[in-house]
Amino acid sequence: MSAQGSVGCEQFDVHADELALGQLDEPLRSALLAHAADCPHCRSLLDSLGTVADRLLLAAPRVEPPAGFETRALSRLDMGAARPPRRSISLWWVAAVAGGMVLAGAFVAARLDGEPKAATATIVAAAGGEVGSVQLIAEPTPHVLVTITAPRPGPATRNCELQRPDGTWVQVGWWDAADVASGVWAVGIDPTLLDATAMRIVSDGDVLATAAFD
Amino acid sequence: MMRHLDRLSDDALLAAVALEERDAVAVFVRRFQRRVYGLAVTMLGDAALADDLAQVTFERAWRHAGTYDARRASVATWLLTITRNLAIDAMRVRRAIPFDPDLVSQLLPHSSAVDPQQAAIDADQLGRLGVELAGLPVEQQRAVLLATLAGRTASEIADIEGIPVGTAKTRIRTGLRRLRIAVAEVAP
Ligand SMILES: [Zn+2]
Repeated sequence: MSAQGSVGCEQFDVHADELALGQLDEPLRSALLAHAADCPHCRSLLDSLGTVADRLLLAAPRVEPPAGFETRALSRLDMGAARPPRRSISLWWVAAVAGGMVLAGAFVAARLDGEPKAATATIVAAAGGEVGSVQLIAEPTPHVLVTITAPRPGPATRNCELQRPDGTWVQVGWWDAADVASGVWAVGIDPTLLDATAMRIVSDGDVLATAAFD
Repeated sequence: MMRHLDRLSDDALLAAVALEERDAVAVFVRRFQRRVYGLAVTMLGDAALADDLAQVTFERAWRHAGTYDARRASVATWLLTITRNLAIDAMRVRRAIPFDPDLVSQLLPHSSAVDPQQAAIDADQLGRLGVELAGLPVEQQRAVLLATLAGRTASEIADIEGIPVGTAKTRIRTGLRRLRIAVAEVAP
């Protein structure tokens, strides 16, 4: 197989099935993926074959695992299998997809639909202009969810702070703008912070953006 | 708390896992362990290996819960692709895992009718894909399911089925491509 150099549509077509099934080795695999990246026709073929191959996994037989599986799986998570230690806080990112599209409503809607939201507010940049939105959510566990739709350049570390009704600010977490330019960030919060009156994003002592809950 | 978590949708439950809600992780494992272990044991054919691989699947899922994207796949599909990828890696290292030919017939769609309720759930989950799959010639169904659910290559399928490698390749290719219509977002 001539994996070196560029791959054409014909060669891609020959190997597309094995590629979608995850059965190809390097360097052919990378050569084919490089072709798909530049060729919309082959990319579409690979996407649809991959979707078929992935979704067929739902047809796998369901089998009761050996006794004690749940305990073993959970203790494995407890034992040193910690998440990357870079952040001590819990968070999740939804990376923006290529093309700058931020977040299909489907994701948030599917997750949050029907769950009581404590508050929602628009995030406004210090220099003016809408940056995104922030939600305080009570279920399934209290958390703040920040959606950045119009990222602004600036220092990498962004601290998220919530203001209590008494005016004091509490830092609830941080993220690194270098990780993801735009998307969703969330962190679990103390239930008393569901009463927060405002949110601000601070970096190196500068307030980059604010949001006021009604 | 647990009762409340039990009622969450798969997506919401995974979001709770991402937030490191300890009880959510337990509910998540309980909800999906039969599927994950079922795929692992189908691919590996070894209970101890499959047990270990299923545990690793849940560990990966927990670590990467934040990367889940509902636009691309359901939670169950996402989780099973983790299992599949781990199993393919494991099979690379430890090839020539004996394959029980009877398992093929168990994988065929109509065989799940032994448990009508289960069959109804599967048909619902697979949706149009299940309908199209059942419409393929049986030899194509077998080749496609051996390639996807059992992670077998064309040459392994040729051995299992006693057919030339070229024939196995053609069956996989024809079957997979006919199934694409079932996942097309908009009718052409
Ligand atoms: Zn092409």
